[in-house]
Amino acid sequence: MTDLFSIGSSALLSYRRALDTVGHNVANVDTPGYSRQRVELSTRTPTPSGQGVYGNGVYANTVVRNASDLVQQRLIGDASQVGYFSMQTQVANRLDGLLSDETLSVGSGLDQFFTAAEDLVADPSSTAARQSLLAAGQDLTRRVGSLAYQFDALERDLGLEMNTAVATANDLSTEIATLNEQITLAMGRSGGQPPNDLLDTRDELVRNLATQLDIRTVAADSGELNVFAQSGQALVLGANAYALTAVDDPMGSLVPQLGVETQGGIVNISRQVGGGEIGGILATADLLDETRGQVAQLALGVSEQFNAVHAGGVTPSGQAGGHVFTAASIDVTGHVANTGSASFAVSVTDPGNLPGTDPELRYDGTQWLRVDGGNAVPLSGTGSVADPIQLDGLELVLGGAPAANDRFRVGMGDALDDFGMALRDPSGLAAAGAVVVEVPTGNTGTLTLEQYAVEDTTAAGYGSAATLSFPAANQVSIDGGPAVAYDAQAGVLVNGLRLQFTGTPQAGDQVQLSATGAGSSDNRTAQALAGLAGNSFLGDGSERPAEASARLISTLGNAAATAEAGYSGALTIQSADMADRDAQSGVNLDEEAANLMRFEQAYQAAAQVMSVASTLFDTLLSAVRR
Amino acid sequence: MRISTAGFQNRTLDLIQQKQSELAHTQEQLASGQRLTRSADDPAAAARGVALDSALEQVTRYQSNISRVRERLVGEEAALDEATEVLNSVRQLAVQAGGSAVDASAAQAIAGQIRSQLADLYGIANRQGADGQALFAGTRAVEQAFSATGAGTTYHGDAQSREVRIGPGHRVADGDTGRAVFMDIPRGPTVQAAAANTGTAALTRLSVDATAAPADLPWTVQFSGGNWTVTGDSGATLGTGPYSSDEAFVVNGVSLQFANTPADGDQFTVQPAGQQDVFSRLDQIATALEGFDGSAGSRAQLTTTLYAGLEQIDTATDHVIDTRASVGNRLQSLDRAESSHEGVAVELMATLSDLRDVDIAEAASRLSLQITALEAAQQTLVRVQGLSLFRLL
Repeated sequence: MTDLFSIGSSALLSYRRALDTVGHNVANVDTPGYSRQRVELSTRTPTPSGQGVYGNGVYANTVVRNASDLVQQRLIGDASQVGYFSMQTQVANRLDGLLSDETLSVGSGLDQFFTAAEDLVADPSSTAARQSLLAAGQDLTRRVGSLAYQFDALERDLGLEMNTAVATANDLSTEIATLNEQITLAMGRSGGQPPNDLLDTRDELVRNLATQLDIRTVAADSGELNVFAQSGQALVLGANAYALTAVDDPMGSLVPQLGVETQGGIVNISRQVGGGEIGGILATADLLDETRGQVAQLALGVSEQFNAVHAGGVTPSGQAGGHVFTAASIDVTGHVANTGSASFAVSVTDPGNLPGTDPELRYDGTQWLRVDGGNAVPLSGTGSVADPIQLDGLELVLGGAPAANDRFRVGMGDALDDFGMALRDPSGLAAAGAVVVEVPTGNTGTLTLEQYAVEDTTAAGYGSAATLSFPAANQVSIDGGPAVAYDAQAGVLVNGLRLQFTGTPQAGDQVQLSATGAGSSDNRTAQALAGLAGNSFLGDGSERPAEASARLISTLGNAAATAEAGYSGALTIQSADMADRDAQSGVNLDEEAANLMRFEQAYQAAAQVMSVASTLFDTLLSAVRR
Repeated sequence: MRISTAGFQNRTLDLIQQKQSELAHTQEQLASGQRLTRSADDPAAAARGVALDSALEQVTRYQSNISRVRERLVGEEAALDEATEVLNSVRQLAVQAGGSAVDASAAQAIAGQIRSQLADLYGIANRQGADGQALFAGTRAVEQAFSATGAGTTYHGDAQSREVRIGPGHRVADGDTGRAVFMDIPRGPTVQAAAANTGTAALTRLSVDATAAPADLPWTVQFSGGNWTVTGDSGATLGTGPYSSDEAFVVNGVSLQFANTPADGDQFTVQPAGQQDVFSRLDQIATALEGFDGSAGSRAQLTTTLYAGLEQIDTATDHVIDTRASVGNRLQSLDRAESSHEGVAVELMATLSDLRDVDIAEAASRLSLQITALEAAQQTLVRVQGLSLFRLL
């Protein structure tokens, strides 16, 4: 009878536990990261006897959670990918939206600007045409300025985002470390039984940490979970968390780099971060730099080329054309660890060949190198005034003395901040050509001017009077100089101008060049300015401005589309893995309802056993009472 | 597969949200009429769109240039037409002045009319464009292209004309310089009677053999003793022979014919071909008419001047008509360029529309499909939510 009592009570106790667990499951049906729990029942040790081995009832062995380490590892990777691409998608979409926006589009700004230039060609002496060209230039600089402002704002936002992400990651690692401690304690107290709910919470925290940063986890026997960054630096070791820290960018970018505090000091691990929101921020900072560099390449390329052509013209008051746009002011930032005193003066020599990113320079002690990722390409030039460093379309003149391994960043993108109009006065536009070319009517040949092309506005004697004389039909002499062969195909290069003629000269024919002077309504410089729209001077002589702006749009559109595809791919994988986890660990209310009934019935039956045992006991008592 | 209650509900919700976002995208496309809302929707199409936009803008630039150039050329054409009319009426007046019934006072009256035509011609040559600047001053920004001075006519412009682009690699001059139209007009050799002539001989014909290249000009033709003698500029005698009225004699390819009787010692000068402005040509005729006193010698002088003058007016008229024809050619080429640009613009806009505009029919049917799908998802969610064993307990 005592056996039956004990068997019944063991069942009552066990099913009570099972029912409690069902209740716990139902209660946590919507708790994020919760894994359904299950009581494991075992038979109690049977009592052996000569009449057989009789069972002794049931006992609840342990409570286990239905969780898979494999799925957890997949979810950790998924979270990193989702965090990475969500950040990239946000930023790429923002950039794409900015550049596609009709009111900010550099492409339409350029179109309108060149249309206004074409109007000046048709009406070179009209003040209205001049004013509308300046207004279109203002609008272009406004567009570029707004973009530059938005880029800066985005960079600052990314910097803030980085600080937030680092703070979140640090909170999470601290919590994980705390949980590690609690789990060890709980396991010690329960004799090695798993503290399921704490494990669930820790798994959830680890997944959240992976959203910030790509991590690896290693479980220890004691129940602790150690977390490492991909670079190998420990973030959580047992009960200790190691803080991440946002390190100021050594080259002056507003987006900080990622460091981790170790015993040996702060280690910069930016290059090894390839996932999570922090990885996304570091990657989008590069995309932002690239975009800004390309906008600068386009805007400065056009403005510098426009200025150069304009300098070859003459204003209505007879002055040589000045700057229409402000000259590009390109600053060079030194690495914080530089030990030398080098500084640079940067000038643009070829507007069509500006770098599309912020180039990084390194001095190796004897020569200058351009560092691009892992590659270092030697640059020509020592940096002296006579032999400047040649960097694409830029020339850098060195001031001060560099130390070996000093590094520098040439701030193409930052030059956008200073982009503006230098000319405010419509009468300062130089629409006229520098010289008037006259074929005297006394000529006996059939020479007529076909093409007037400016080749070099800095040539000696540019814009001054000259006489071409033809001592013979196949010879030409400039200002009475020695006669050289006359090549009708190549024309004549005189004072930086190339003149091409149709017809043939006769011996004794002349062509007179005279300075244009004040009060001209000529449009040849305006023609050259408007002609830049159709001129492939950008991209080292391969792209028209419209093509360059189309390339900008397609580059960014592709970056945004790629990021979005990556994001939606990562989400799909994550949701598939989540489905796996749910299938294994999620709570199904119908199942719990069924279990509830099942365990309730078992509990009732066990109670019945108790009652039978009691009746048996009563029967025995009444049998022996007297 | 096991289904977790929360996971199942989350996924159903995700599905509904995804359908809603697709629906919102279609709705945005329909409302804006644009297929591409961002360049990430189709980067290649977006980049092509930007390039096409710019090409369209370029075509619009050409079109606006064409209309401006046309405006100016039409103005120039009208001016040249009027100049032709002036020259024609001067020609008529000169022919009228050559008649034998014209006496000194009639000659004065004709001279007055020619002077007024000359003033008209100045007016035409000084005409201004819409921008208030002289039409015929080349690339000088001046209000007046020509001014009459005591010595002749001064041109204030220059010898270059502006060119404007009306198509890829196609430039057109938007005018002609005053120098080319009115100043440097070629003329053939001409004959002047010496002021001291007393005879009645007058030039009636002058022609130059196209293959001959008369040298040593100017020549002097001198009559004496019924003979003519032609002396070159160097003093060399180029030819001599007996003179008879209305009979041509030829020297070095130049055929000269005089009428009536020269006095001994009468001289005529044969000037070489060259260039002369149209104003001085008119001025010469008027001056000769003003100097006519009705005497026989004076009439002979006038006849010679008028002969040369008519020839010069004819070459000037031809020159103006040639210029007008070149303007007409340019206007024609503007028309051709314009219609070709119109075709290109229509094509570009069609391509842009293909790239960017949404296909309304397709989008509308997509919208109704998406609405049906969303409604189905919502209804299943409600129905499935209601299924729970706990309800039956």
